[in-house]
Amino acid sequence: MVALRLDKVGATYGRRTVLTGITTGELRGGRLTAVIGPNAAGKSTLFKRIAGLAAGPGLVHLSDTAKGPETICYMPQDTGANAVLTVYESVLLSAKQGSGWKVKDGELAEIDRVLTALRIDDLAFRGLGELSGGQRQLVSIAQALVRKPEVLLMDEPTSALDLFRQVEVLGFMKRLAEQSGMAVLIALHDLNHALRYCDDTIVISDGSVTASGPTQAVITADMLKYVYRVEARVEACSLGRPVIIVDDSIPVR
Amino acid sequence: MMVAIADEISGVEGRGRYRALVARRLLILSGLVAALFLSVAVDMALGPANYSLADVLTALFRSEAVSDQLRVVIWDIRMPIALMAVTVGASLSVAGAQMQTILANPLASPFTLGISAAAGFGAALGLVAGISIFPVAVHYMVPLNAFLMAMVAALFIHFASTMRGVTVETIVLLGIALVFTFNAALSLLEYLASEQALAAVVFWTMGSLTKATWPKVWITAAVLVFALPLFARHAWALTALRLGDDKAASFGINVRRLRLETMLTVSLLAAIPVSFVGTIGFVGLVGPHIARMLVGEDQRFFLPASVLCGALLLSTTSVVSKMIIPGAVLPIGIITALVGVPFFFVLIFTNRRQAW
Repeated sequence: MVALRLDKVGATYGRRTVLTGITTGELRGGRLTAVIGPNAAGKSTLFKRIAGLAAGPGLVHLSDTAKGPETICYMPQDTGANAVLTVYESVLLSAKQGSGWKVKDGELAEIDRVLTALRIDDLAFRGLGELSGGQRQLVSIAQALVRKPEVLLMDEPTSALDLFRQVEVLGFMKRLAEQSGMAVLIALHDLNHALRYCDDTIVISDGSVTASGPTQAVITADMLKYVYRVEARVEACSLGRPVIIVDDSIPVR
Repeated sequence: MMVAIADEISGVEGRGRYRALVARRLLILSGLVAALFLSVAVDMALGPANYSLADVLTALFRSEAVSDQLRVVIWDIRMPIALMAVTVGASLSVAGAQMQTILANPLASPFTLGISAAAGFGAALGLVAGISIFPVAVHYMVPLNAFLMAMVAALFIHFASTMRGVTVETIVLLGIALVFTFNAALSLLEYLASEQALAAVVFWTMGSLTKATWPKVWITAAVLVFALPLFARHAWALTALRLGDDKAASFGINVRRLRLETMLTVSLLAAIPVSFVGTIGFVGLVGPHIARMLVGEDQRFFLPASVLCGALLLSTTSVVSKMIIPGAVLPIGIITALVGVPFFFVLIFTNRRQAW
């Protein structure tokens, strides 16, 4: 099974340093890892750096079993709305990069499977421009999955989804990771989702790692106070699961 | 990987519908090819001496069976003009299509990015001031001046795009600034020009296929033959650019390099035809939009459709330019918009799908 490890990873845009010294333990396949932190903390940049789309120091170690750096797939927030393409074509486009013009039946069958699994097969022949933000986000997930990555970096994949779809997609990704052995890193703002679905959590704040480890050990009232500047409690609900209850924000002095 | 989750659900419907979509697009492309052949044949039949389509076809395929006069008229006079319409239309349309693709802007075209305006200024330099930017025979001075100025504009856009922090929006703005600059410079030359030179400049800027010769046809065709495989090789990547830079990069595409390579090829593709036939603004902007409305933006279909739409638009225009006033050929630059606009409006207003 694939595993990923970051060793003093940094990222720079021109002369500006956005990330410094990001080191993690082994992020193993079959697990969901939440990457959390305030806005502009560097979560997207970290994903881009891991995927080789941003420059910077440090090393991204992939286990020997991995197919190669191209097995890391970054799913950006930007979902590109105005291309005159159908959903089906836009997913095919992702699958066919770097290969010839001819489209084989097997490739189309894979697209059908992904669209059906995400329950967006009814949108297959709608134009991208006709979709809602949430639908586009689901198409974006399909574009990522059809590339069959071993490491998937999802940048806020649920930000435009309704509550039902958020729960559905995260549950789906969790099962998919377990079944396929894919390592999934998800940037999330909803920390209750992180608590519910993610095995591990990395907290990024001001371009460096503030905490990392098993989710329930990382998401604590202290962390919320220090990183997010909110007064909050992490308490067990009636089913015994931990949930965050936010009491107030801490005024900026 | 997905098998475990969705194995029980058959996806035959999607596959079948996609194959049908492809078949429909191939049919549209075939229709465009047929229409283009017809238009070129009609274009060759029309002229001061009208010939029937049968005469034209005989002269084309069994030239020994027709009179010397007919052979000379078809092969040496009308065919270069008819094929120039095809190659110029195709080149400008593909150039516009790729400019729109890499700049993510529906208004991008050789005309709106200042390449045509620069060519016009270059031509006027020769026609008004007798200045040859590159000393050659007088006969080639005007097209070469136009070509060099067009390349200056295109390369300016190209190098501007290589600078860090320059966004695609900035490039489009720079292009529009070039249009104003070169048009102002052209107006200045026109203001200072003699009456005879002024007439020559005005005629040049209207665009005309009557300047077509076989060498010009071959050069334009050669650039097209050089450029198309380059674009075809990057068909999936160029299509992906339309999903946004981040998304394209996430597909493993080197967005910056693709954009620069494409811009360089497009520069050549736009500069050559403009320098030969003058300013024909409409084809490069609208040809790709018509293609996009017909077959979408998958470059495997969009690229040939842009070639065919541009070629067909200019070829039809060439036909119409001969029909309006019998015996006279009106400048094609004027007619292009007059023929193309109504067709374009019909497409926009009847097309319920998204056009950009």
